[in-house]
Amino acid sequence: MPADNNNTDDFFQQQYQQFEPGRLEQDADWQQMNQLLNSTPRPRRRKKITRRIIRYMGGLALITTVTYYTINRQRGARYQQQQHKFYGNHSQKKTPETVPYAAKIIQAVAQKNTTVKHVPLLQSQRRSNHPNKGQVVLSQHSDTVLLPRQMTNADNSAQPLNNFFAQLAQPVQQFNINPTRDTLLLCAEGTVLRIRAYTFMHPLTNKYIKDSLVLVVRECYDYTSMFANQLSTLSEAGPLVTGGMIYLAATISNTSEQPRIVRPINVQMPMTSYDPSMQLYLPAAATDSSNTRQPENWVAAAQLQAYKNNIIFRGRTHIKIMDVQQRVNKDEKNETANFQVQPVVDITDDKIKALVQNRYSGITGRIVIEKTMVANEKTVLKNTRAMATGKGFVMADSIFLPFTEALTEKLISQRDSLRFAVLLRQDSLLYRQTVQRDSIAFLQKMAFEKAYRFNVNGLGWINCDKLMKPGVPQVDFVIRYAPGEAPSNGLYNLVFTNIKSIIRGQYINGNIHFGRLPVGEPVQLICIAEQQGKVMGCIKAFRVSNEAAGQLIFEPTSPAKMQQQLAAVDAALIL
Amino acid sequence: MNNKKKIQLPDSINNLELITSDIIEGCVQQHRKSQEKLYRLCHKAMLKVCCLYVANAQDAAALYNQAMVKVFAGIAQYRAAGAFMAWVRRIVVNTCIDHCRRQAKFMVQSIDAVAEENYQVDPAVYDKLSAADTIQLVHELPPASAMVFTLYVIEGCKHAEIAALLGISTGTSKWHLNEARRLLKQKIDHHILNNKIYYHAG
Repeated sequence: MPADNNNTDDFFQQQYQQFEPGRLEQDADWQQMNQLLNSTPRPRRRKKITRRIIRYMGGLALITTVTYYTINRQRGARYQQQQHKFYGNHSQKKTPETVPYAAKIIQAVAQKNTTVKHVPLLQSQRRSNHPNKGQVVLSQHSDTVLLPRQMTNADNSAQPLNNFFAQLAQPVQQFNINPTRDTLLLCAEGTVLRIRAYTFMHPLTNKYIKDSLVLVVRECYDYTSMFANQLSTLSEAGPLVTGGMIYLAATISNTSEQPRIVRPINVQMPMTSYDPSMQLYLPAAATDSSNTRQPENWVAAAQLQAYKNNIIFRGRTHIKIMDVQQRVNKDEKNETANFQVQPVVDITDDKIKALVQNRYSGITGRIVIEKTMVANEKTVLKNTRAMATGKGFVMADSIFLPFTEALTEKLISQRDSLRFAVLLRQDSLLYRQTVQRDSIAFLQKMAFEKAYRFNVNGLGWINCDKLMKPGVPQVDFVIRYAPGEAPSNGLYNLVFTNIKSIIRGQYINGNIHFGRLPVGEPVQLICIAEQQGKVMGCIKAFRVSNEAAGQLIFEPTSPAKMQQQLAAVDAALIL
Repeated sequence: MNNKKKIQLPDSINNLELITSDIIEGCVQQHRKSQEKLYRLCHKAMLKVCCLYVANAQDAAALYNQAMVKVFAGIAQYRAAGAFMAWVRRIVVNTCIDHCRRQAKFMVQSIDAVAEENYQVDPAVYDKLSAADTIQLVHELPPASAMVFTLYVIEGCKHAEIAALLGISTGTSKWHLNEARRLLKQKIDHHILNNKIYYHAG
């Protein structure tokens, strides 16, 4: 017997031919087989069942289509009947019932001498569900005028001064508003309040107020109103230049409860010359509608007028990577490149293949286009690594990855990273130019509208201010006079001639101190004091300096006289 | 080296003449009597195939039953393009391979890394070996090597086919074949020296 491998194989083949299995118990084996066959479910005849299912589905689809068509036809006829019933024929004379609802409102408002203005509705979930959505929102002037505010100081000695200020103050504006509607309020001095529906909430029940609401507004845009309301534009950072101050208060009708604000109120304050550095200031001690005390210190509320674009531009941090899935079959030596494409792509597969071939010129094998539904960006990034940009489709050979991750996974080379750095720099420059352009456009828009806009989240006093000349040297200005020349219980205010600012002085040892004022600014001291039961007034011009000033002459005054003098100061204000 | 002869069908394939189209049609209709006829006609030949892959006769019968379940389940898909018995045999062999593959662990080695070893055996020894002894020797091989040896020598498969069937590379298949041959020659020599076999010798 040869010992080489072929002969060994032949030997084993021959032995296998001669081999007979020792155990041939067909009956026993068949019994087991029979049990196996009994336990195995017989395969169904799929073809016939499939045909039957297709037949049933077809019938069902036909019945559904016919039913849908019939119902729609009936519904359309019913709708036409309703339309005809509501609007009537065009030839028919209009009756009060056929006048559109908006026209009714305009007619009703015209009778009350109120103005109507169409306001674009802001997007809101609650508003979108509101039954009155889409209708016009009324803007209105104040319904009633309240009496001047009473002083809260309980000091008996200040009673003549209280009466004086009460007579000097301008009337308070009161609005009765429907809190379930978007409301635009036009105040007497030009302030515009935009109040969205469901802005007010009951403080105790935490439910939206749906009944009528009374909103009280005070506007202080000139020295007269500021002096009458005993306001001052002083902050911890220094004296402020004001663009106006507003007081807001609200009470629920027929109750004394003050509502809570859950949505910001947009306040538009008029101005004569636009200053982009103006921002919102709020009282340091929070004042609500119940607290009518004048704030003595203002704090910036971080609402600048300048345009700020907070959109995060993702392209600066992410990189787009071409994700070509190439599979190489070793046996067939064929290369297949798979590309995922959204099903909504309006390009033929041949065109896509041509594009891909043009993009990846190295592909010599087969190109397979897969239609992939792109649902969610994160899901896509996680699963298929394909994404849509939101502007439509993207041939999903692309993925967005953070730049660092792309480098880590070696999806980009060092050369790519350098190129990306250049793109990033160009992108940043473009982004900066865009923001700058938008900022300028925003400022121009504000200057055209001649108004400052803020959003306030509470009631009470609000102030549109900026810091007074931060670069100019500041000194403590002191006005001295002999003891007994001026009473200590007076109100001493310093108003500026070139800028709108009113600073309250402090009476210390017979002197009136004003802190941190810019040197050389022309000012006027306005004093009101009580002497022997009479209200005495003094208005005198100064220029801020290190040296103390004096020689105040107090004369008896009245609210009307003081109002004239303050009006003269307002008129002399150069803006 | 590649003058390997194609395997001849066993004698029991002659039973093919008895497997008529009526029996096959009955099996398609899931008639139990037709299934029993087919089962009995294929029993001897296919059990012989199964015995190549498993040493135990009862395991071989179980494997045959398992394969016949597949045959009855898929007989509707059988097309009369080829020999029916060859189709059944392919199913049986595949079932046996699936069974053995769960037990075999293939060593990932290439024929290039293993030096071919010519183990010399006295030619007179082959005359003393019976068929049952020879099959028994194959069963004593490692499962992976035994399977490759059986597929190559008995079934007549090429290395590429074996690699595709078992999910290994052609180099690994060659290595297992060489290893099986070496071990078989070694076992023959070892057992002859110790007089352990020849209980089937005439």
